[in-house]
Amino acid sequence: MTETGNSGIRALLQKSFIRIPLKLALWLIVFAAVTFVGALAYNAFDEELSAEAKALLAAPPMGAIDDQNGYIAFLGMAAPKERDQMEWGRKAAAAFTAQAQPGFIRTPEWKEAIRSHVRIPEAQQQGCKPESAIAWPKRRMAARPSPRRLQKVTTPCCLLAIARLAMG
Amino acid sequence: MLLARYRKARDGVTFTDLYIGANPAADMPGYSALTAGALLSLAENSLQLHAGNLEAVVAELEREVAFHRRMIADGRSVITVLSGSNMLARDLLIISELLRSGGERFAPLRVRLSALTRPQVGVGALRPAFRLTAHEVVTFGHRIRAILRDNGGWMWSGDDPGNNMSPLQNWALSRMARPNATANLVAAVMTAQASIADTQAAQFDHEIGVIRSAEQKLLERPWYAELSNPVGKGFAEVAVINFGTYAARMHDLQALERMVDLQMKLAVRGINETAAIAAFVAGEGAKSHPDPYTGKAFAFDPEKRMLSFESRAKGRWGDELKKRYGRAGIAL
Repeated sequence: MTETGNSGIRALLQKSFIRIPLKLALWLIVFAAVTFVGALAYNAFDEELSAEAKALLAAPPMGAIDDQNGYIAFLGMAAPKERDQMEWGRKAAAAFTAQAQPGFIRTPEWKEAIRSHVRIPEAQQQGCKPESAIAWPKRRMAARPSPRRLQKVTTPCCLLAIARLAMG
Repeated sequence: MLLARYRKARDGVTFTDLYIGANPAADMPGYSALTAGALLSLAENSLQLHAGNLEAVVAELEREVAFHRRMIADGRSVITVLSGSNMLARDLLIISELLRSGGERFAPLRVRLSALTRPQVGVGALRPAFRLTAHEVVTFGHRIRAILRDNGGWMWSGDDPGNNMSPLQNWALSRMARPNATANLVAAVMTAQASIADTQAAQFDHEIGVIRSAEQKLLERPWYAELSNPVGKGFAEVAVINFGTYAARMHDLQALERMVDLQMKLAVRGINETAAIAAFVAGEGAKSHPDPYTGKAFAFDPEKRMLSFESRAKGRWGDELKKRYGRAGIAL
């Protein structure tokens, strides 16, 4: 920039209607930065865990994966026709509980074990595609039908398909 | 085949759900197979009823009621306990309808049916479910810094996108969250909420107000403390679950159970005249089977021959969640 250009800008900045807002903006930026850094520093320290929190952080014991527990048979309800219900239930139970482990990755085998639990092929053909707990609300928000209507449409359709499957 | 598999699950010795883990993105088993199985059982039972096999009808109802009571007693998650309570409510309504329309045909089986309606439900059944839910939310709050820093880390591994924020945003937000303070705040609020499981129906309306004001006080954010753990406090505001809604459903179920048992008592004693029913409900019924919310006799409408109470449960979705159902009743 030329000497003339620099002095022009300097002259402009010396005008009070520019100088005051600029100074204010600068102070605001400095204030925000100091507040942010202060908040970062303050939140770097933490308090002790309360007795309530400690008690609630302790994980409840895992349910028994044995054949006396009807829950295992429930997990095996969606086993393919030729597969044993209880064996499928134990496999699904192991897959579900694996999610509690840090470092857990959804492998294709894991997805198969879980998804076949909720997937009823004939129900899917009728348009009742089960989705993950995350995907379904997202789709619902995007489509924006009223929840009551969605329930009304899917429930009879799923029931019909399940009844047909049961009779077949 | 689905019905056979449902019966295998139903007739297990216990029905204890597995602990899936404090992972907000974890897939949970869908319960629709269970409710569909219960509907198939009901469909088959109605065929038996029309064929006149009353013994088979009652035997199937016995197994259904036992299963749904087991779900409530053994269930450790809110979904299991409340699914069991919803299905038990349907069983009770079916028994009520059998008593109303079945007439003397069911007289020889009344002893067995009366064992099914004997009041057993209590809001205390929700304690383990509240404990598990509180554990999950507190754990999530305690891990909040790591979750934000790693964009969800292993919690959202796979197809889920995590929290959709830039690494810089995630870093800044993670530094504004204090894990222990968040866990302490969430634990305090959830403990206050969970106390509703120790409250009887008669104190429900009062206690829910006390809990709500305690919760508001804990979640208060004065301007001078705004910079202390802002992300953790924001998390606590959105993550805390209103246990009162679930407790209200259990109290409603308890009221329904008492009403059906009262109807059973009327049937056993052969009281069928409207005036006699009204006198019994207001007299002996008020002592043995009071409305759990009021402690007085259930309301009886002589014109409609209907017993009813004021439900405290609310709708399930959106705006409905803010509204109570109104009166719930059974026709005699």
